[in-house]
Amino acid sequence: MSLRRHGFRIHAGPWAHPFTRPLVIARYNLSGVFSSRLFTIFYVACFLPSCLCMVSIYLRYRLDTFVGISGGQWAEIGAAGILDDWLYYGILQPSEWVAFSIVLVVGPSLLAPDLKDNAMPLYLSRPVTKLQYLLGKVLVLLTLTAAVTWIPGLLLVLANAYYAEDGWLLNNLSVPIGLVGSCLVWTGCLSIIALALSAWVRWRPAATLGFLGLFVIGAGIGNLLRATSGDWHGSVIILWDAIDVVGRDLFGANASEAMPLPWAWATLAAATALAFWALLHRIRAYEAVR
Amino acid sequence: MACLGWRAGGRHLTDAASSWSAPAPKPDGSGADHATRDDWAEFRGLSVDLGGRRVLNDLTATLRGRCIGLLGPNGAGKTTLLNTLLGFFKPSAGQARIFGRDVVADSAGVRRLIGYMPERDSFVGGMTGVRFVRMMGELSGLPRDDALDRAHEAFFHVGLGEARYRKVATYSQGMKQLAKLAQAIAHGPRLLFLDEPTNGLDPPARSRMLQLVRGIRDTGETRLVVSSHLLRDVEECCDEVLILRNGRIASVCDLASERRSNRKFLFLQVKGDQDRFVDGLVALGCEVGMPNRRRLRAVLPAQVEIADLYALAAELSVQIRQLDHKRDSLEDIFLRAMDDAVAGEPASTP
Repeated sequence: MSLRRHGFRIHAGPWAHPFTRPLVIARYNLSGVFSSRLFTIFYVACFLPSCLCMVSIYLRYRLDTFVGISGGQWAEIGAAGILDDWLYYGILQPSEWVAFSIVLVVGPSLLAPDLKDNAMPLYLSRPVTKLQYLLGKVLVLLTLTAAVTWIPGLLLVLANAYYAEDGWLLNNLSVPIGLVGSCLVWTGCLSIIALALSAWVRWRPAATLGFLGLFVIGAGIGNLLRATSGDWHGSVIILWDAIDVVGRDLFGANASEAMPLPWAWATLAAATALAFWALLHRIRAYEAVR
Repeated sequence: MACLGWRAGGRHLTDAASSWSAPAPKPDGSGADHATRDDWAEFRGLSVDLGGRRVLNDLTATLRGRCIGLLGPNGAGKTTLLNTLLGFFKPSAGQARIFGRDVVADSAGVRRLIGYMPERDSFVGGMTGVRFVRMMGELSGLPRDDALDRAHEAFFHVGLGEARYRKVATYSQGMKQLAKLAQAIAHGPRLLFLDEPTNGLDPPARSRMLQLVRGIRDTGETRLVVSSHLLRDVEECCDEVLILRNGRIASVCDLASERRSNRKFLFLQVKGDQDRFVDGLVALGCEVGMPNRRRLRAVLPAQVEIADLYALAAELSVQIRQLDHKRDSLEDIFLRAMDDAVAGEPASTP
């Protein structure tokens, strides 16, 4: 380190590629997130569902070894529907909850401090666009969630393929594809909503409560509408139902009856688009003086 | 007189077409980054509308100085001009170029050349000072290791070396100002925008800040634009001033030329035979006036030095009791520009 040079000098060396800017933002934010020991403990705990699922996969194929269930008995259990969609419930649904928890904890803290400390002029006076800045922030959430959702999920699918009969993976390619697709769609949607709330509320605890409230109150109102009208229309404001429908379709699990598939996609797309629009209007280098 | 009224046109307000065709920048940006070029910024009919109101109105000027003072009353458009050059606002008409690059068409290229110190407190509070500046350096395009190296250098350069591992949120107002300067210079920009750099600083800190600004200016590698309400700050650092009023250029003034032109303009007060002394001055080739009985005003020809006046006084047994350079203070220039702007302002000016 050249601590002997204390003067001002022009940089005459090479410059990093412009595409690396979002990665810089993501790297610094990730390191900031893990500076909290509490979060690190929480993050390690997020691997628990995957570990439990791994155990269940092992037991499913080796249980007969332990308790002596014969092949015929397995057939009876299967016929009873106990193990229907077990991969869906074992891998995808926990992943959705884990992703939600991580976005709930981390999302509101990504934008609010920058806006509160008026850091936007510093970011945007550099060769960084609004979209690159936002991409950097979204990358933080995508990275954090990927490492505890679809990446271990793929490992679980591979483990299942190892224990299952030959050709299981080829016959169930929709499982890994659906897993990755669902996780990315869900995390992307959640991330944009969390960042938008963070940008508008600017106070981390309030943004966290707002994010939670959006889902809880949304689900409450949606269920109320569904109960009073007696049809599925109330579900369009319940994002959990929407991702459930989309996830089941991508995953190849039994279809949900919460709402028709196109409406589920439309719900997620509309929520994301609305949040993105709000976000773009909030991220600016200056405060408009009226 | 180097100070040029806007309506009069003049040296700085050259026919822009003659110097407009800057060489095309090379892909790596080196072609346009020529700090040795005299005219590094050009505005042609630059206008900016915000909220349906014209905030900058038809600015046309060429900037050449190493350090430009951006002056004007509140609401004159100083910060809007800086924000426009940074690409935060899109011009509603006209063009602006910095080092030959169009600020709209090549916004990212322009911003890579600029370091910006905003007026308001701006930082990432949860980070240590050096980490904050390092991140800003990387976002400017510095490679990772260079950014770390330069972040340390910048902190030592501004005098915050010992506090660089403290969180920025814990800094005092003066330290925050210096940290803002550090993040602006860490990537070695060719152009530095300083918006009210001495805001909230006590006299020693202000002096230190101005010393740093002058130091950067004197490297000759970086051009500076200092926006300030404090005329004294601008006077101490800048060699050229751009005075805005109601979104228009009220005056562009080369302070260095102004100082040079005033160097031989003296006010004298003498004791003794004043008439003989005046005759002696005239004999030396000076133009002499007497605004009142006690004071003489003399314009020295190029070959006459002040030492010659002392020699003359000694020869005539006259005491020189007072000798002042006549010097238009920046305040005079500023007030004159404001008066001129009011006198020549069209009725429709916002």
